[in-house]
Amino acid sequence: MRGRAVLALVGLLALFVLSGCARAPETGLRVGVLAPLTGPFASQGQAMQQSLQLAAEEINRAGGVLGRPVELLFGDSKGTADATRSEALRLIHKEKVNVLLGAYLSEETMAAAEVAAENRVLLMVPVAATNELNARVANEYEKYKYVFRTSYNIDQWAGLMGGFIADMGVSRYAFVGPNIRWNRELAQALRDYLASSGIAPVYEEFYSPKEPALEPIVVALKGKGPGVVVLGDPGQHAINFVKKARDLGLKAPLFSVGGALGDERVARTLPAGGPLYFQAAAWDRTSEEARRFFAAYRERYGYHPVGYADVLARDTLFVLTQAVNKVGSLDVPRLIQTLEQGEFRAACGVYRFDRSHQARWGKGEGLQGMVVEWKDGRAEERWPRI
Amino acid sequence: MEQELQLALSGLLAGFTYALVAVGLTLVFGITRVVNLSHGAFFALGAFVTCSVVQWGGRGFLALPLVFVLSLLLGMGLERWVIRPVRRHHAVVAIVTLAVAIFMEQIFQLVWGPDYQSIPRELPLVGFMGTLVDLQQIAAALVAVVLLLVLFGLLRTRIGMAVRLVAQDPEGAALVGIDVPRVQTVVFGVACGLAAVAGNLTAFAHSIYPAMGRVPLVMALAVVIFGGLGNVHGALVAGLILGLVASGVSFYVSPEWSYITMLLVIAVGLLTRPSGLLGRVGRRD
Repeated sequence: MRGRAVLALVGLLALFVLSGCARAPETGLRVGVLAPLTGPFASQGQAMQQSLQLAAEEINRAGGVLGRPVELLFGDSKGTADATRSEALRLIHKEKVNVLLGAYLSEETMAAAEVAAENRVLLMVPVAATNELNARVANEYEKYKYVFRTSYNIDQWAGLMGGFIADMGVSRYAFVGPNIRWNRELAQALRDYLASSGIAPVYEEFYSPKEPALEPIVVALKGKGPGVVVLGDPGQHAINFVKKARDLGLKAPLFSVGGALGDERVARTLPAGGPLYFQAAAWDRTSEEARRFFAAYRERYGYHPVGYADVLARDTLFVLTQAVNKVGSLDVPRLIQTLEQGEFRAACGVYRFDRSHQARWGKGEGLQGMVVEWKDGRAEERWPRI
Repeated sequence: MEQELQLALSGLLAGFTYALVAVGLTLVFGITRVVNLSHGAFFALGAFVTCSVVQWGGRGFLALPLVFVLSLLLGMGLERWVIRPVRRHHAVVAIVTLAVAIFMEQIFQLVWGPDYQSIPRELPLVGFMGTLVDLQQIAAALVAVVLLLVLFGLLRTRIGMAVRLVAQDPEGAALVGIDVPRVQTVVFGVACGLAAVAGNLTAFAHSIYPAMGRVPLVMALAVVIFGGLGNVHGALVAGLILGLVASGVSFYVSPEWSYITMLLVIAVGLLTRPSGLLGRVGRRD
């Protein structure tokens, strides 16, 4: 009886080991994706997921990476640093991913950067904008050299938006957004950027991200008469703000950082009453690759992506796979070197990284972004003029 | 002067919305002693169903009876089969209703997707004494007032007396032949229906997304506590006060202070009147 029990135990152990062997990765590149798939930021998380799935299919159709298909494994970061940390650890240690890609919020991304640095795993950042990420790589290179960001940081974002505002020919602007660190940093960076053009803020206010009373802000804005109102809110309150602003007769142009207001399904429901612009990393005319991506996305999911988290996540996977194919292996030090020195073409333009592993965005660089205007529910690319 | 009038109007109309959500919550607490943390999810359900009706070519206001009945039935089912078995354990009830809220959010995400949705207004704005009056918001506030009046009226009828007796002394109510569990189930359903109606009435003004019920829940809890737990009139008054405070502080001080000032007003209010604005001292727990 005891012998049978031992035999059964050995059999179970063998099965366990064999099943483990069977799960050994047969793909060329296993990418662990960190995105908020549930919770308040699930909309953006889903956009990242959908774009990455399209990108992986496209890459695999073209032969994959190192002759093998790319495999995406998703972790739900839920919009919190804690969930991001635990999902990053699961993806690294249980799913044995080669690279991490994500997350969405800056808080999430800083947590992912810590995990990547501790485990010496490459982390490709497609969305988060905090300048702190660059500072860490620059100040503690040996520890954080695994982190690369393809999206624009706060300073670059301010430069992209400020460039458009300066070209509008206005002398006064207003900045309104939720009272969060990222937004305050953006307002400060925009103020600094526009000061050199003699453009000053006439109103700068931050509302509670919980339950903002938007009507008083609109009433105050009407009294200030800004040439343009910058709306630093990529989330749900941006929609509410535009509705309130137009309903209460604020006719000034509204310029959104993008996100929720880049969604054509939302744009169709907004009241008219003045120009509505939003900033995007790319739109149809940015490049032929962008046009093809947006068309494929619309065909698959039935609507145009917002041109931010979606296209940036997609590009990040393309940058990564180009680097792996250049190196010819998954050797991390050589991948870092290749990313630091190489050029990578994708939908938003040509990606090159600076010393702090930040992609170079801005006028004259390979990446410049796009300002789009909603007109009667249709998107019209306004800036830069191509 | 026009600005002040505009702000007062906005604050009052926002207050009615808070009140409508909060009245359901306080009604449930008063009758069943349950703090229903899934209340905000019913607000979201009302907005989502309205959004679908509008997207299918219908009118938002026409969806009102549908969202009320749907939420009433769902709420009654929730009370009967999920809450009643654990009602005696207050902590468990809170956790269960929170779990229901999270579950409902996941269902919304599966059915409607995680993206922000929006519907256009159906009624215009009109000029009045130098201000812009939002007819849709006025209509929403009127519906809220009518519903609250109907509710207060019902509480004074024979059925309403039974409900009030259940609130004051469930054991005594059972002794005189009132079917206490049934009253509690119906009241819970009506409260969920009121939350969904609030979601319907304000759907045009907000973005609609799965987690949208969280903030109204917190606001409603604050209003309920400020007004006096279980006090329906208190919830109405507290909702209006907080709406005006948020609007005024946002304009005269700074928008970033409006939320924290509301919480401060609640804290000061409770320190001076621990039972809430219209709560009675020494009431039975």
